[in-house]
Amino acid sequence: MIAQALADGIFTGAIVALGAIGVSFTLQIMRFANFSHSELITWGAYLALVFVAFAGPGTPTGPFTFGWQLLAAAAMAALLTGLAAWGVDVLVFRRLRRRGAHPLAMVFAAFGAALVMRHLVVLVWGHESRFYTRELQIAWQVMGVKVLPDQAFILLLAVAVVTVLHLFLAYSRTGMAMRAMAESPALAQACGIRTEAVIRTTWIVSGALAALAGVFAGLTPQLHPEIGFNLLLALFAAAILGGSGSLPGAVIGGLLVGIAENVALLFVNPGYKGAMPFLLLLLVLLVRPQGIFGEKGER
Amino acid sequence: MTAPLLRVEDLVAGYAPGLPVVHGASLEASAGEIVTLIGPNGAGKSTLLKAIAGLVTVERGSIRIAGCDVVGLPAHEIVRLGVGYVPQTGNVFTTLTVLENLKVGGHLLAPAQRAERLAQAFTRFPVLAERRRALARTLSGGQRQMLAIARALMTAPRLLLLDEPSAGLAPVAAEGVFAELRSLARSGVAVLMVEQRARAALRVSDRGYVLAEGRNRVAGPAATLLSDPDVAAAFLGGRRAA
Repeated sequence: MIAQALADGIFTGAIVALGAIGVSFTLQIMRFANFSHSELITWGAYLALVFVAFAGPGTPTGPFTFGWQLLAAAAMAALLTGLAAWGVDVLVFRRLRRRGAHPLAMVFAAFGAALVMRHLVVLVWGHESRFYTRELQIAWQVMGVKVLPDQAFILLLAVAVVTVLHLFLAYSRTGMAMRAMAESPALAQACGIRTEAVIRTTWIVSGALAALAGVFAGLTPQLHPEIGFNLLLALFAAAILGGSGSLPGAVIGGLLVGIAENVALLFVNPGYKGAMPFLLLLLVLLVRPQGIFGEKGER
Repeated sequence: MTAPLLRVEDLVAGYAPGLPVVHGASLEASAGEIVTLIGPNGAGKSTLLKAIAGLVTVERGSIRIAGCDVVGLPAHEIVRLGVGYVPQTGNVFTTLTVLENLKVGGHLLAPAQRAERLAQAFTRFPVLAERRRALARTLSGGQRQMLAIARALMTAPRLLLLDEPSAGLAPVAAEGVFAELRSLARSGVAVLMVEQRARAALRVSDRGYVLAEGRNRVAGPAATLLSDPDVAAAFLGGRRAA
């Protein structure tokens, strides 16, 4: 039972982690809590649906319910959602940033953007649930734990994406500039870094990761306009739990949130599932106010 | 005498529009000389440096670097014109390693040139080479200051701005930093620094300015300022021995 809950938690956690990475980047690099990040997840899921509508999800390949077409759709959705995230920045956040808006004003702008973004999805696709594929699949039994092949695939893909992102942040010129700016925008500028270019990259990367989270969430098993919104609080819990601005932090935070939700189901009424990440968050912050991987403020 | 590399005229600048901290300051710095700005706290010294680096809003006046007006240019463009800036606090990226700090300092460079400058930095500061994989926050105060200067030198600036390079350092480490600046000036860099250790800084400087309430009050060769009884009484803390 515990093993099954852990497995389910790790899977949910991988999706939460992909979203939490973007939340964490925005918190650290642009210094505001982007409550519209969850809508990028929704946009990503529905943009992939557009491609799937044209190409189909593909013939089921091996044990999976989809073929390469869905992966291509996910890649296109990631690209478009990345650009859309930047577009929202140009339309909303950049204007406020240039006027030196208070971080709280940014947060409220994000709430507004989130509403518009969510209802655009409702306007185009309606309220009813959608599916990439209606194929059924048979779960694998791994040491007494039921795992859907799709879930295993998604988990591996998430690990690959996070690894590539880690290498990008650790070794590339742009990745280093992002880390520099996360610590000190003024010093980064004094190094000749164009902060607007770094912000653009941050949005594109965050949006792309959110889109992947959306596709993965939509694949297991369905899409609906609240698919992102339902994850919103988990994203923030994960980002803060891990320590904002830290990639391993956001990933571990995501996994912990996923596991906490699913393990809690064994002991408490499912109605309390959503509260579990926050209980965990409270407990961690009492011990480590900067989050698990967060740096203590040093200025 | 050639035209100065940096010429600031009648500068009014601050953090918010209508609330200037610098009220009409003027100064010059030429290639190969060290110029020190001294003055009481809140005189606008740091803000003046930030204005030259493009990090605060300039309301009036001009800042020319090699004849080119840089007022209104974004900070990253000013870096391209050959200006290096070392802030007083937060002057290194503490979450990055020594090597990464230097690489970020050379953000604008082509890979080959960056590698060359990295090698130069490690030759100039052997202690940084030893600790290249260490996170910058684990460095001692003196090492951190060396890293901050080395980072600013990655772009081979013609003008180096330093905000209190000796702050928080033991006297020996401070002397080390000043000696480094002297050698930089000998190589043709114009060095403009703000210092609280006014005497020690003026001793290695060619010229000095005394800034008070956002304006310059006294200017002259460093030796003259050091021996001026009025300056000594008001700004050097009286004691000759510092």
